Amino acid sequence: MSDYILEVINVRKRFGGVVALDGVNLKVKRGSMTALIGPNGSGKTTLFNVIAGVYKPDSGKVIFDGTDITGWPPEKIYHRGLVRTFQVPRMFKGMTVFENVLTAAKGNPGERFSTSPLRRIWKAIELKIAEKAVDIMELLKILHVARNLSSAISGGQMKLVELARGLMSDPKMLLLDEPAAGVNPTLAHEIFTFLRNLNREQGITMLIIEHRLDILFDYVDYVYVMHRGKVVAEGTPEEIVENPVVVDIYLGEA
Amino acid sequence: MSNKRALILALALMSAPLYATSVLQAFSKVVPQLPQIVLDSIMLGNLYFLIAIGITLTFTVAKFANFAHGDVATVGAYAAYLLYNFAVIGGIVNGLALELGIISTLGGLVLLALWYALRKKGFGNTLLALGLPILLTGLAVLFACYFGANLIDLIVIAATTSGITSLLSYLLVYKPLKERNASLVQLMVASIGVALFIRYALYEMTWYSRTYYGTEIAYQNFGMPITSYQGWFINGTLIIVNATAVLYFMNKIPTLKIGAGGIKLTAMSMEEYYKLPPQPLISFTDLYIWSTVTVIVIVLSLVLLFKKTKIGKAWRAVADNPILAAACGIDVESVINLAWLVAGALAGIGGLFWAMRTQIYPELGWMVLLNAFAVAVLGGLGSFWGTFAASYILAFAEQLGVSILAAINPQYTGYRFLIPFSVFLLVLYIKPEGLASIKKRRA
Amino acid sequence: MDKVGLVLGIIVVAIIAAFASINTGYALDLIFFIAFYAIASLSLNLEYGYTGLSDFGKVGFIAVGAYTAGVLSAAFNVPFPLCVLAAALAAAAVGAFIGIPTVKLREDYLGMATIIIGEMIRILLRNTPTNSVWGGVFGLRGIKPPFGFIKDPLARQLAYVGLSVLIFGLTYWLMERWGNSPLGRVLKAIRDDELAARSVGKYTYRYKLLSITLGSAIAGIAGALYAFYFLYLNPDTFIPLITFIIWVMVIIGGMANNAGVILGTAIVILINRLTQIAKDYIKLPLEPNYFQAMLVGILIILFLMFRPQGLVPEKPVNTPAWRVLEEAEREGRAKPPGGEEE
Repeated sequence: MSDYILEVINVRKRFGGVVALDGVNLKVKRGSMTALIGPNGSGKTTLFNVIAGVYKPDSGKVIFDGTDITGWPPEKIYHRGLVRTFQVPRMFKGMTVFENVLTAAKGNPGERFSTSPLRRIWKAIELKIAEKAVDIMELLKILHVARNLSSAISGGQMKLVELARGLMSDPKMLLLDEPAAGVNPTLAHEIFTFLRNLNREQGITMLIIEHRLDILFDYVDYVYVMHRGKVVAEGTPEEIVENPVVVDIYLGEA
Repeated sequence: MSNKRALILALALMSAPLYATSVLQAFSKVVPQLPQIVLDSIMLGNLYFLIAIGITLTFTVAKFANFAHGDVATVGAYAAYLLYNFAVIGGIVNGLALELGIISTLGGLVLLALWYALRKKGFGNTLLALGLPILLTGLAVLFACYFGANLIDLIVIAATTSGITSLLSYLLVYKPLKERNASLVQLMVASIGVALFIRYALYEMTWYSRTYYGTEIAYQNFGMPITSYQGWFINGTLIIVNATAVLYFMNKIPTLKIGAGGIKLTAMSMEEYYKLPPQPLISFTDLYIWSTVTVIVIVLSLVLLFKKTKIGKAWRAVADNPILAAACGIDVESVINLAWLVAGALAGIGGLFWAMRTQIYPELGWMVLLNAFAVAVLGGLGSFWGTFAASYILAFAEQLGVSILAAINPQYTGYRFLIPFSVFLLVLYIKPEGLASIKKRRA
Repeated sequence: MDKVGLVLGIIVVAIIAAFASINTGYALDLIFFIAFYAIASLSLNLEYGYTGLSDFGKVGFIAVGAYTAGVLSAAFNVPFPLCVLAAALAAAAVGAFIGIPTVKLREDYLGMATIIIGEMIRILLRNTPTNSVWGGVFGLRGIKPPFGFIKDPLARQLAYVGLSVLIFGLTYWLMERWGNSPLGRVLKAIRDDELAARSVGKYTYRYKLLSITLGSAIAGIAGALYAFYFLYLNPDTFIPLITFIIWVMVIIGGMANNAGVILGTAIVILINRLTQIAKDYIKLPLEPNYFQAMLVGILIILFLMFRPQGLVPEKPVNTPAWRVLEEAEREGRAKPPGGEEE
């Protein structure tokens, strides 16, 4: 088993004339909490999209847990244990929060056209999935809005629903795109504490895109810095803060 | 993916020998008809282009396929038909037409005045977008009442009525829906609702005319006299004869001779005419000429619009990224209004020519719409030049196909409608992005 | 059920009962039409209401089913149940054929493709040789009635309408079972946000393809029922307007709500019937058939604008999972955290 659960090797991606990813190289250590930072437009979300299978890279490789997943579709990657949340939460707006979380479960035989009419086949598993969903929602403190339509909750709660969905599949690794964006600082700290506990206790690796350097450095082991489609610096949070290249990028853009 | 394509190709190749023999035989009969087929393809392509380009244009700003587009074209066709046939009846100006003309002209002027007064306010541009075509409609009607409707007049009224219908459908239906965050499917379904409303309103109109005026206005010939021509290629000279004149046994038949010696306009006697070979190489009508000229004018105008004018560039910006465009200070609403107006206008002109080519009837636009979809998808949804090329490619495939079908068995020509549809399915299976994806993407 | 729906439902049943008391045959005919259209609407609800697919070619799949059943019965004396099965398979095949390339594309393409295939089918049927069993524009005759052994025509009609209602009931049961299961959640997820659905591991292409295939199969069954009721088929019956009448039934009734869809069906059919009757009593300067079609267009637009969820709104997918939530709530685990959210 490799030290690194995720390896991104020389990934390139362009859209028409715009080069979004210009040869990105990064490695995420198994069991770590790693951050991906960089100014707007540096390609962080695009990189997530490539890793998670939303885009196919023009060249390069993505290796997850020893398997080459380059170009795999998102659904296949999910089943491998790599889960991704969205910067702007994507709720299933026609359904309640509870249903949103239940949908993310893996391996429910009731999801097939052939077996779903026969309740007996899937009832037991459905109940187990429901227990898990309730537990996760309770942990994330969104159980009280379980019956709300997922379009009728606050933005912060939507982010928590995204997270809850992500946890339903017992993932090996989470790709979190700004998990606490738009959320008040108290809640943001709660979320990150929760994430860190998850990381330490269950060993779920995390790669987090986050802007707020101050919040991040309390919780994160390693940082990658992106600029204009490339990784330009990496290191521990302390090293990064001292790195003149990084300071330059952020000051230059400000 | 490539496995699937290989499978399809293999199946096609394997089944080829089955009909290859009859097709090859038919092909040999068809080859001498090629010049005629090419001419017919240009004409049909013109007509396809006029309808399909509207779908492409609205697609660029509205981002959905407008299923009401065909019926919008029928509106223009009917407006022109009614104007041509009923503005002046038996030498006397039709009172109703006159009233409509005056109301429309005045209404247009009022709207324009309002626009001018409220220019600064912002929503004013909608008044302009409505006022101008309404004014033009009124003027076109009045023109017909006093001078008789000529081709330009008919083109104007078809364009304005269809343009207004198209713009109204946006203002009354699609815009409110978009403001309510309607999904793509909902917009499409709404356009079906608009299509049904327009089409059956036209049916009502035909019923009303039949019941209360005793006049039949469905499945009628347009009624405009159209000259037909015949051409021969003899001794290196292309001889084009006014075939309608022949029908009237005129002694001086206008003839155009194009050869090594240049272009000569002469007259031919009936005797000389009968000395020509019995089957002309090509035959065509005024409609071929009018539609081709119209398309050339329109293409040039659109190219100029998009490349040179401010609003044309604004249109391209809005098509690319409406939010960014708005942020740059572009009046997105005006651009969208213009897009709907222009798309409708072009459809109306197309509808007019279609009605002249076949007949006027309420389903006219709808029947053409499906073919237009095939063109738009073949060209690549939203691509101007793709749509242009696809119009003629599809027209050629259809005309060639019809000739081959006729050569195999004349009864099969009823299947001509299947040709564009089959092309559509083929494109979907093999390359849904259409022709546009073959061109290099501009940076 | 929603209050609006309940009230309207009662009105509908009352009207039908009123008809029944006046003329049984007419009422039976009315019930058949409701059952037939309800099956078709339910199939569209599966495709659009649950999965979000824009199937504008519904009438084409119904036609495939009708003609498959019709030809098998008229030309080969195939017994009724096998005809229905064949109709379902044939329609499913066409649905899959159209679905395979298009469900992975944007909805515009599926809309265009389905409408085109619907018209292709109609044109192909029109162009069949008139001296063959297909009948071309003259239509297909000679379908063998399944209850032909019953002498009394009214009893025969009653038997067949009863059978149709039974098949409708089975369809409804199936839809409710599919809808109120984890499958229902997956389909709604695909409808609401396909990318998010894929990001939680759902193979959306397969679901969409299955949805349109099965929806077409059910439409095929409706077509077969139609064939064996009228014992005669004509290609020009299967025009696009029928597809959109079914759409308005679903839009009015309620997306992803099977009971709502049936209500929508009944309402549209009753409006049609009542207008026919009213025409004999009230002279209006309007042709009623054309006017009703205009009304279909207007209703589509109005409902999409002002009540897109339909008369009977969508309900959550009802599975045993809710019991677990109830239990947790009873145990007091679902209290909001002290203080306000942000």
